[in-house]
Amino acid sequence: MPGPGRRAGPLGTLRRVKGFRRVMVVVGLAALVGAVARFRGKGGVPPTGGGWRQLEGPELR
Amino acid sequence: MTSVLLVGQGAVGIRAARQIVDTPGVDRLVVAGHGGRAPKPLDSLGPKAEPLVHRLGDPLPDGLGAVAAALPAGVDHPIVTRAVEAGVPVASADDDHGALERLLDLDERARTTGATVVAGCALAPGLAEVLARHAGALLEVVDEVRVARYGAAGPACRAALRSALQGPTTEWRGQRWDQAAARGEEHVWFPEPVTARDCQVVAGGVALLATTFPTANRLSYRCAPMPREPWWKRSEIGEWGAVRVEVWGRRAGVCEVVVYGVIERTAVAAGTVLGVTAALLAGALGPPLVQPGVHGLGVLVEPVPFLLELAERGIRAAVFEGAPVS
Repeated sequence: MPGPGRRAGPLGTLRRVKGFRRVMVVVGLAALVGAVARFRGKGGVPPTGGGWRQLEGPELR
Repeated sequence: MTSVLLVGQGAVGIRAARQIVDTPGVDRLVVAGHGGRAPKPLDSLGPKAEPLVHRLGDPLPDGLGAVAAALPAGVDHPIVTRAVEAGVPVASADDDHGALERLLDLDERARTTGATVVAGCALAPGLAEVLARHAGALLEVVDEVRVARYGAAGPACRAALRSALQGPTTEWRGQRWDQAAARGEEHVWFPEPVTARDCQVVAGGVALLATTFPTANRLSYRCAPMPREPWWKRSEIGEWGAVRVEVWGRRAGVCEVVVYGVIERTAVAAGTVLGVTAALLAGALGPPLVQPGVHGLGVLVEPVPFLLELAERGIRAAVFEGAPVS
């Protein structure tokens, strides 16, 4: 173990790499969940079985 | 001589002014700016229009047939009060929930002085109630009315819309107010080019729907937030306005739904509705519309003649045919 004021040895570097990998995994998972939520939330336009027609005639029907 | 006072020269006001001076029965349009400011130049409106410097609270000019107020949310109360005290009919385009409630509070006084007051006289509320009543005439019993609106006429209207979307979510359910209506979004299908939008429940306009359909079980208003577009890529869609009115009910024992809608530039639609209503109140389109008290447009006007007048001026309603998907 490195003493105070000394540079980290191989063990300290390994911990940092592991920590970095964990952070990357968490960020990746969060992005994945966010993407799924976004695309599921904006599911496009709902289906319609018809259309709009202008009202016509003296009774506007 | 038929005179109309128009207060406000924003996006709705200038369109209403054009509609009023284009009405043959109107002889004079007096135009006042907002907050005592001198009105903008009126040359484009022709010889019928004349300017007036009018502060809120000033007495009204003499000989008015009607007053049309196209002011930002909550600002027009003093001028409506003045008109009520003078017994002059008035139409207000204000669609703010609190402002509408304050206008409805003037009902008793308006009945006493004989003034006819039209509250919420724009696209929705306003034209939406007329469409709902027109649709309701096809049914024997109206159970539910759902109004949805997309669009805002100008900066003041955008601010009012933002406020409405953050405000209370009141619905009329089972003959009582439901203050805790769900705030969630609902996908609503408007006529093209607006098409589908996510809309949220808002309180504004429900009180006027309730006066139009006092026996309905459920009445609700929804609005779509305006798209956030930076000025350098602002698209034309931001100018469009649309309203969709779904009326659910029964005919011959069968549950049915009638869906009407309108698509137009929001300021044009709101200004035309306000202008035509002011002309009706002043008697410029036939006998004056007289019904003392404060009303929504759905209670006050006959839907077919009103919609025909709007259609002549380019605001045409449409019906959705097919399987309705809101």
